[in-house]
Amino acid sequence: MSTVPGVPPVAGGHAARVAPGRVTVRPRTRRALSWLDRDTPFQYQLILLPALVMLLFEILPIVHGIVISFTSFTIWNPEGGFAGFRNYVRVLENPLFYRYALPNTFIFLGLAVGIEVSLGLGVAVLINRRFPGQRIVKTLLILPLLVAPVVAGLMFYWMFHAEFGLVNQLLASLGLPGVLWFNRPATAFGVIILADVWTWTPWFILIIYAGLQSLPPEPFEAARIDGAGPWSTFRLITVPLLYPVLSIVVLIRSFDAFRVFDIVWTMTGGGPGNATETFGTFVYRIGYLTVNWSEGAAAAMVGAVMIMVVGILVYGTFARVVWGKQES
Amino acid sequence: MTNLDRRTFLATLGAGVAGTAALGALPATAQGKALTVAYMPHPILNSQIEWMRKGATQTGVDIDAPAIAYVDYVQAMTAQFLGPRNRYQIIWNNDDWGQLFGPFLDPLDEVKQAWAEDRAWMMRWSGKPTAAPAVLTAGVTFYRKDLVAENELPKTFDEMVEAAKKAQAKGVKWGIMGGSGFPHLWFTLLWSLWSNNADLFKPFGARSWQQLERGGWTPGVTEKEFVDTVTWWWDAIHTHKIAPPAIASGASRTDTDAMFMNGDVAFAFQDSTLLQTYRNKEKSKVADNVGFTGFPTGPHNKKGRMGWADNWSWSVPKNNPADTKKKAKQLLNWLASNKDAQKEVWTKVGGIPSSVEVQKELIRTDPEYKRLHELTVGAPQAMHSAYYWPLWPEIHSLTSKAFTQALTGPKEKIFEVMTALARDFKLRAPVPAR
Repeated sequence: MSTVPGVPPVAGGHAARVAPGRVTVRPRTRRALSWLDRDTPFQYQLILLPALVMLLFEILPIVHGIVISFTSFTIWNPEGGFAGFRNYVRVLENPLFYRYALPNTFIFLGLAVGIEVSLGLGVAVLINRRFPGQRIVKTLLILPLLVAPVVAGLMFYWMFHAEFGLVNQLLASLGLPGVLWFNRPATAFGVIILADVWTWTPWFILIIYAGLQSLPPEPFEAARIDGAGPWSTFRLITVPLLYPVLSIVVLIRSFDAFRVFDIVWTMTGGGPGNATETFGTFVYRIGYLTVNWSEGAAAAMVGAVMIMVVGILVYGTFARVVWGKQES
Repeated sequence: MTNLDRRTFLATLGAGVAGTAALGALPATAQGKALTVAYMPHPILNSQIEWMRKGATQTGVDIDAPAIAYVDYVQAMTAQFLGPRNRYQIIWNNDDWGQLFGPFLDPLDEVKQAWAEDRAWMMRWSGKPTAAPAVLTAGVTFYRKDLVAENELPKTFDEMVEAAKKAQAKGVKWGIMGGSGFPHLWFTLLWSLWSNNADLFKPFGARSWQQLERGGWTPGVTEKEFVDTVTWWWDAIHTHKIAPPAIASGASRTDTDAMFMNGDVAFAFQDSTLLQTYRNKEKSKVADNVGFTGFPTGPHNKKGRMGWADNWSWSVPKNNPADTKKKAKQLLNWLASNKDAQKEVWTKVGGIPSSVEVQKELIRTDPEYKRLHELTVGAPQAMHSAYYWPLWPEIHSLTSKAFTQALTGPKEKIFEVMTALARDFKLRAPVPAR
């Protein structure tokens, strides 16, 4: 029971265990502390800390980013000052943004994620059966996931280097001429996508394989009894049952692909010229290379809005397909 | 879980997080008597850090020097200047950043000014010096002595093409090589521009914003001299095939080092601070045959051979406690006054010491240094290698992109690419409006 007048008794709380006459804690502090003991579900108390961390390290920086995107805050003008929509106008009218960064990002997103999900699905289906050395194969398949994208970028840069690259040496040993991989927009972009596919396909394999393992056996048995072949089973049963998993992996990876930076930066720096500039390198260039944080923040906000729209479209499409199938 | 367990658990967790946060917020100096130095790994800075450690022993402090990658350096410094945590007490600073970092640095009146003012004026803020130069980094043309005789060293662009072809005829894969991607443009386009009476902005050679405004600045990238210089590079790659196409895809200075030390190039445009690395037998296949000369001049050149040599310095961030700043300045004063540390800039690395006194001594005693000095600091046309206003990195980056775009496209489109660059300059350059 509470020993402080005016404070309601707290059943089973800290205050209830304090002996009468020994209370030195102020009522407000005691009330706050008692939140730890009372009937508040433990999960809320556990969430408190991550929520605080999220607030401090995610929500506040985003809010800060929004605020500075409306100022003229740069290293040479740290006092800033209200700039209205000037930074947004500068971003939107920058040819590097609308002529290169934006189209390249969507091409990269479409190609990289498309290839990765297709390969991931194919390989996951292949390893979802018993065969000798299955464990070793599965372990080897996920090894690229252990390589940081920036390291993968450097690896591919040196592999495709015009002078020292392994690939050109291989071509030379076959009597073929070397290719200047990073001198032409198409080949430079191709190598970037290849590096991304190498890095991220194992992630698709892993998640889709887990999805395959959790599928109910009954539809497959029914299909077998009905005489369905492997392709029909895959197309009409496996893939529809995997839609929820596929929608999530495509969504998460699309967000990630939209902000691709490290692989591009380490391999081409956005070049030759502006040919492989993506949204991530564009924001970095504006915000960090030129130390113009306000404009960089405005660019990041433009990107955030775009990726939200993309996310809604992708999720909406999948939701329609998934729910549509389930209803039918 | 009982109430008591729950409370203990949450309280311990909370205390742990608060403790970690408090520890992280402690300035480095409070954790010991260390001065933390921000630098990037480079032979010249490594040598300087070694000397700092020697000096620190005498002044009773420790040196903590976590290396920072070049690409992250400016970001790390902006966090130092504007963030709540003053992590570094001494920072590497160079001429490019003099005006960018200036407002955040403590004046260094107490440090002995051993350097020449004409190489350090851009390191002043509100009239006071904010940096102590340690070395002048200067561009040179390295060459293979076994392929090119000293009396055949090229003095003009045309002679360079011929010398490169001759060397290739002797079996070396490429004639010339240099960095072209951002931020390595000094080692291809920039030196050749300045050697050919061309510049990014007109008036030619103006470097501060005031100088440009006084001269009624315009982009210089569509001028005949500029376009001709880019065309010379295009021909070097595509017509004469003396330069590797890697230059057109934005090669870095590391590519140059790798190719030169592997014996694949006759002439490499680099910083003289790579001299002793190139002569290191453990790293270089051509260690015994490394020579250097100046840059060749282009057909439009009017003032003779061009040389650039600009400072790399040390500075003390303003947002440090007074006693720490005092210790940092004492150490920098010791370093700037130490003749042996300055001599090692040349003997161990290949750079030009910033100390005028040491320069004079080396000119008297070391013929090879004398030659380097004459080719760079003492060149008939001495240039500063950057623009000294905050948007220089953006201009540098835009130029690098346009250069690689011009080199990867058809020759007849070079002027078109440069016209687009001029438009970008007009849009992005005007500092006062931004």
